[in-house]
Amino acid sequence: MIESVLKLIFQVIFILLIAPIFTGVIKKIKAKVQHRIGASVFQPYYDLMKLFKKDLVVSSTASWIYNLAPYMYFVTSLVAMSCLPVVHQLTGFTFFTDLLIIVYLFVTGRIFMALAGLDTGSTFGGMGSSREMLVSALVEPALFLIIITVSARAGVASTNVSSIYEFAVNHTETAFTPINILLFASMLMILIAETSRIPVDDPSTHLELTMVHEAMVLEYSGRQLAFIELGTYLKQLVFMTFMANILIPIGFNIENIFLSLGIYLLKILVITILVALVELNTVKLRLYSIPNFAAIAFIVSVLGFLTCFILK
Amino acid sequence: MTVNHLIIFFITCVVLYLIGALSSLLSYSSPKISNQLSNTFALVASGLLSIIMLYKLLFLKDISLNFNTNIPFLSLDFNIDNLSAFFILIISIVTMVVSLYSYTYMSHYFYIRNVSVFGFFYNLFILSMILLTASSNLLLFLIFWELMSLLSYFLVIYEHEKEDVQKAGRIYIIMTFTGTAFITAAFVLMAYWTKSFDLATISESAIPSNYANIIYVFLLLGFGTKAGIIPVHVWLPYAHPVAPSNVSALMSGVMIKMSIYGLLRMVFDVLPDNAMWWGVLTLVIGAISAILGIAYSVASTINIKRLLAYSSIENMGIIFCGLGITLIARATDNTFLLSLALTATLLHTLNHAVFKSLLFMSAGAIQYSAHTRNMEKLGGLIKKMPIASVFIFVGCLAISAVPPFNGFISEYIIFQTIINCIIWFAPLGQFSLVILFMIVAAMLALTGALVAYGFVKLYGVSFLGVPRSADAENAKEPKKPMLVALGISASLCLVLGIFPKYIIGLIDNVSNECVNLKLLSTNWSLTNFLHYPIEKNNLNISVSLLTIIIMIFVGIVALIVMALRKRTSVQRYNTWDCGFTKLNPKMQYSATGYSKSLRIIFRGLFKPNRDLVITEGYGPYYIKNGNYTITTEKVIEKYLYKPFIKMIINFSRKIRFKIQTGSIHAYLMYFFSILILMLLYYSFMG
Repeated sequence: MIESVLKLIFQVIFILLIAPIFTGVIKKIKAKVQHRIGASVFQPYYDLMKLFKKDLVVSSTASWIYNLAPYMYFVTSLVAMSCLPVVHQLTGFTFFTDLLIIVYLFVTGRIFMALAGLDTGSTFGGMGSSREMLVSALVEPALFLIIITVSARAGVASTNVSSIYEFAVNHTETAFTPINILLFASMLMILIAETSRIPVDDPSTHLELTMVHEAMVLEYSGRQLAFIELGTYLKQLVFMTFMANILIPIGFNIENIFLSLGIYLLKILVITILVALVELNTVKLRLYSIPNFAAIAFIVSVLGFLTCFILK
Repeated sequence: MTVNHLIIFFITCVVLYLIGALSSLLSYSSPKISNQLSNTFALVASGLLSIIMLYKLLFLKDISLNFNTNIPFLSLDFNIDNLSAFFILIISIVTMVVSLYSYTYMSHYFYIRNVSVFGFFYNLFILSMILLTASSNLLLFLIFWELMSLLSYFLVIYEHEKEDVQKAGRIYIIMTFTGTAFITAAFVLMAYWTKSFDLATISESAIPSNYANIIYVFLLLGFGTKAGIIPVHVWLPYAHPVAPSNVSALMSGVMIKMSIYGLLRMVFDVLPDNAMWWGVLTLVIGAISAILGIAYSVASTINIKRLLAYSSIENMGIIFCGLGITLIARATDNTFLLSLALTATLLHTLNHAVFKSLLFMSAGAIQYSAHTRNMEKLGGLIKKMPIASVFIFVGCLAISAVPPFNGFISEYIIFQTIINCIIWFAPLGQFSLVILFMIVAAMLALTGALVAYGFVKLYGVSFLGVPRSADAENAKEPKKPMLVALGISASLCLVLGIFPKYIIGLIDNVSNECVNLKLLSTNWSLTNFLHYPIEKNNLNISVSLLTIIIMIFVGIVALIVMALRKRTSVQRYNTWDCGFTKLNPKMQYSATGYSKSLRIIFRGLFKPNRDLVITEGYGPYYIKNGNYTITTEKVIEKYLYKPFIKMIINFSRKIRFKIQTGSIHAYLMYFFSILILMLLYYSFMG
């Protein structure tokens, strides 16, 4: 028991340490392709450090929900991330390592953030909050289909991560099968939508017509903003870890922990580059084109499902 | 306690409700006393009843009462088995809380309306539901069903001089009688084959399958009308908003669940074999109701209670999905799936009863303090009613299936059931079923996300931000009994969510009776204390341990924040207004605006219509006055009901002058010819 608690603590510290770097990497790749030097890949860390030290300005209309929301958003993302195995299965914690729990934790965090957006009484907050709820609602069916496919494929009739991970480790040959590729593609689109990246949302703009996530958190400052940023990095890492460890089940080495850690980071890096390439080659969609984007994600996941259960 | 004790206690409860009804009526001169008497008796009776039913479910003693009457076919048989006991438990828990709530809520009707008549109908309404659940004779069932519908009608039209209330009442009574007609037809068909209205006798005789098919469709239509399943839902969004909030809490929390009880009772007792398509049909209409219900709830409402009413349609849809899977599993003789699906159905029934009654009571509390149900006139209530807003927040979280509240666990089990179905049916080669389950799962996922959208809208617009009207500005915390009732409901949401094992243990006793399989090994030992539930197939998650883990993380974050707080300062300042003039409440996002994108995306469903009238001042850019109206169409009413009603009216008009001549001779001839026809029929056929 103590050993597994220690493992959990190590995993939590590890993911907290590595989560921001992938956003830095995406920004760096974008800068390089656009022939800019760009900020260092460690820029997210500097930003976080700065934000933690800053004073706060809180809207005078805000209530306790506004003050609680960043921490709830961060904690739900962190718990969701500790559900997934980074290198090792966390034995002893199967009671909460469940894919549906991850989804509902995200719902929890999103509800708090959306409420916080409305709490300040500003138009931006309400607009962002409404759009964020809409976008994530639209990709929800695809997400559930992926979850259902991977868990029903594992054959144990459960969405528990432990059994799904076990199936992945024992079936490394599924890594580049059509099923996994389809699910991977769909998951990539969900990742883009859920973590507010181009083409669904533009994280670097502050123009009210295009903002989704940024509009919702516009009023935040200081450590509250830092926790929100960190929560978003973690959320991004949850999707990436799911793709890396369950949809590309290769390179598990149980004996040598550092080797498998290296392979894990490599896989995450590949996904990061994919996300950056998508950002570079697309433009932000109109808000009312997002349903089409979500529909494509859904159809791809349906194809994955059908390939898994019917066409095999 | 022996069975006799239980029977005596049960009769005591019935008598207490009757006393409550009568004493309320007799003390009409003082509304205050009348209100207290009716609610106290209802409270005590419901409390006692819930203890009895809990005891009954734990120690499994059937309570039955029989009285013979001289009326043919009608014997006063009451039998409370586990299924009835579970539903009576739901009724009694909800009515207990609602009665407590009514102490305060009814006080704003004092000396304006007749409170004593309300108390009379209120107690009898509760009693009719309890006796309906207890009766084991079809005629008796029908009598109490009609009583329940009629009494609820009287409660719905309590504010009867208002025009919208009258309209809602008319729609409700027409729809409910139509539903009852189908139920009656189904019952008559059953009795035709078995020559008896007694459930025990009927269950022993097999009904031929083609008749069983017709019976099931009739039952589905009849009970579906009461449940508010799309497309026979039309009464629900009218009747729930206009009724007093305690009545809508009872109607939405309990009354519409009676249709689930009726369906389960008839299916498991009367129709021993069911065809696969029954389940498929139920599943499909359930899923459609779920998604359309929540879509209408989010996109086309600014009235809190109407939003909640549509959300009831959605939840009944989810329960019907569970029921559909139950029937599919029953048709394929898979007992594990059957038991899992039945558990999901019953658990969601209970959970929905708890959180939906909480939310309707909340809507009442808002109306009580802010005198409006219109979200566009609310805002900032979290500061005006700080304690009530926490309880209402819990209700919104519970319905959005946020762990650790109770909505989460039933949605979780429903998804597990669907996954189990896919695993079961895929190797058997029943691909059409697999695809059906896939579509249903996707629809339920979208439903779940839209629920969160809708309740963020409800809570965010009415409780957060700045007050949008003077009424919201002057809102106050409601009085103690109302707060306590909200608090009890909210803590029930939490307790049922954190310790679902116990309630699933109870449901296991119910499904064991119907299915002969227990999901849980029912050893109530301390080692199993925290772990939730279904050990079979590695399904064990524990919401309570998850809560503890979240709490630990929250604690660590709180410590970090404490440490950071010492070094930094917090400044309260105005919301950012882009450097222009000060923000005003009208600039906030409105409820209509919040759901606009959804309306546009699903415009086929809503047919939104906007109308912008601008009065120009000095030029096109100097707007003096603007009026923006947005309307959505009730598509189902317009394209399904209106043509049907038109057809009937036209038909009636045409034949009116041919049959209804107004001459008494013609009417006498009708009587006579019918009599002759009947005599001929029986002399030749009978």
